[in-house]
Amino acid sequence: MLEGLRSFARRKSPWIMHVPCGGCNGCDIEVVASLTPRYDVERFGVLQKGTPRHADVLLVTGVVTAQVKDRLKRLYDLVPGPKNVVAYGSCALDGDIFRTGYAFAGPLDEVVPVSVYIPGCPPRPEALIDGLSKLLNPPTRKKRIESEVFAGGEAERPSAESKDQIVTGKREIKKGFNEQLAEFILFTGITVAALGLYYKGFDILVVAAVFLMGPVMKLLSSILRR
Amino acid sequence: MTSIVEIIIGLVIYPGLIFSLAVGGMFYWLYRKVRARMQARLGPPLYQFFIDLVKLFSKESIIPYSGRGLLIVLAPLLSIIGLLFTIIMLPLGSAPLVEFDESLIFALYFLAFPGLAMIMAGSSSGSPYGAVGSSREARMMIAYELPYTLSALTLAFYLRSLSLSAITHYQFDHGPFFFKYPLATIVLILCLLAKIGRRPFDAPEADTEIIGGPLTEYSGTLLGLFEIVNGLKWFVVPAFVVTLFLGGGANLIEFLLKCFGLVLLLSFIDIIHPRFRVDQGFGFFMKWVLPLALIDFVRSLILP
Amino acid sequence: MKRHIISDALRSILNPSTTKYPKKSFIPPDGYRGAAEYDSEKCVGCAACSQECPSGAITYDDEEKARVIKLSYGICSFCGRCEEICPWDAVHLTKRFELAVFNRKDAETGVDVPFFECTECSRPFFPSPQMKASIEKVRETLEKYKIKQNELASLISVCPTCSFSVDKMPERRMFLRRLVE
Repeated sequence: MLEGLRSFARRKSPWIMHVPCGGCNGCDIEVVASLTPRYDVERFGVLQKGTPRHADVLLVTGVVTAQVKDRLKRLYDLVPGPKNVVAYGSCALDGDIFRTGYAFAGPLDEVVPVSVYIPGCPPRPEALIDGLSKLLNPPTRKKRIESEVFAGGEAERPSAESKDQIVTGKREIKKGFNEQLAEFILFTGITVAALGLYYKGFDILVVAAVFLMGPVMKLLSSILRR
Repeated sequence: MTSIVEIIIGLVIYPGLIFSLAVGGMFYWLYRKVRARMQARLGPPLYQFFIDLVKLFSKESIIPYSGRGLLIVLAPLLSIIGLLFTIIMLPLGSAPLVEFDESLIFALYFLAFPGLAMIMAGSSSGSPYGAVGSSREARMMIAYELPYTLSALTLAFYLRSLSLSAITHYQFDHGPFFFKYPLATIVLILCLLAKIGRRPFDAPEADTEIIGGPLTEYSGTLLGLFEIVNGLKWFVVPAFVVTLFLGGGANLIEFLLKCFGLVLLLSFIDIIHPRFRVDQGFGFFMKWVLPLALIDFVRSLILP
Repeated sequence: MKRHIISDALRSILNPSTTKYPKKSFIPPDGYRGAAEYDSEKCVGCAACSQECPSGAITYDDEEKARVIKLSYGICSFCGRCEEICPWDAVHLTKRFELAVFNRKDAETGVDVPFFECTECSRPFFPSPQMKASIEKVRETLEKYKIKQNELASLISVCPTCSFSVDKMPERRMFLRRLVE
């Protein structure tokens, strides 16, 4: 059970460190864009840290040049285990257009061991979220074979996650607002009821139980909805 | 005199480590969520702080070769001990766990430990980022400790007594001290921001300028201990202010509600401000905050 | 001074602008250059794409029974020149952007084009769709000259080794003389 708790914790809070080697900086802009409100990766628990000693996942962008190679090895040694490396962008995979240049010192996995490769020039922030979720929840062996087949170039990928159609922007926001308003009213009602019970003279344990019903109901609804 | 078993239970379970960590973790989550929502994005889920702690405790901790091993490990433990000894002296609800006549001075003394521990952590970790961070923290401590102590001592001079229970009993009869000394309350809330280490005064732990500040070389379990310190600080420091100036709370729920309101106010001030430089923060405390504290202090000395 | 910051912040508390990405799939707009895919019905095996690719991501290899064209995503810069240049419309840049893989060798795509066998010695030597397309084009052009197309077609469908054998030479010379007149 402790092992389950530990792996759950490692999945839900990956702290990344962004290491830009020499490239065109297009991928760096996409990494920074994924921290903005539109693609917010903080909702998955991802924090961007400046020092490798605090980080779990090294996000390496850009082509590995001869100047950066030794420093990259030292950075990899500084990260405390268990650690992962994500190669972001085609430059880190195999050099992209800089492959025949004078400064190209090999693809990334000849310098540090890599867990997930995300091709693209530059990959979208959604591709970064997808790559991170594949890193943290790796599919089982059967699903992994299927996903390798997809990367090998089959036809249109069937979207199994989403059963709803794409709605226009306006309708989406209104739906979210109603849901949140309902939740807000519910929680306020529960709080007022709890305080009212207290001032009527009930015991504090009863009040705490009423108060805790709110989060418990929210937890149950989110479990059942999934 | 309470027995030793009760003191140990009080230190560890209620209102000690576990209770304060749970409530402090909730307040830290509240700060992060309000900050995210006001920036038009979704925030982290509810259990984020505790999951961070579990993850940090499961990583390996590396002590750098050029640092002093004993002081590196001692720093977070010292701040945890200081915060815990404060919380057993605060009356949460009815009566504090440990009661004696000079508890205000003891509370002020123990609440200075987290800042000192950060200075110790920064300068003993053997990296230039740590040294810069600890010198910034020392400078900010000089700036905010003086008005902080002055505004706490205005109450002592008014009541002619140094005990926290006397302060709360006075507030039960006559209403919170906020109405009598509003300037001292404002001074204490501003010093709170510097104490917890949030904007606009978070220069010691600046993430984009000096890479981790004093905590640069910490990893794994030791960093988890510093995260516990952070969580505890979000509960203990507002609790101290609520006891002194905002009227204590007749029972636990009222106390927690007042802490909740204070945490919302602190988050709000943090979110809309950028970061001050160290010399700007120092100048702010010396030019504006210290005169306000002195005004109220002199008022409490002279007027009955 | 700070009024617009505060009002903006308060207004966006209930209105987050985050996309719902992992829970709801995202389709990029038209014209988005995602991963390239080959249409094996239309590809002829001419390898014009590999001549044009600026980063050298497309390579072709003549194996025994087929020509293997390989496009490796690690070198591809998603520029779209292969789609522009292909005369048979066989490469398209689709909208697929979720390409994360666990092995570097998996990030590639390609097409195998089967070879055409020589009528004399039955050895495969040339991609068969290209052969058929060439014969079609030749037939169209030679309709004006009223020369027997079947004869020409049979002359073309021979591998280089066989077509330079000595006993074929006079026939070819006669054919060419008739063509020039």
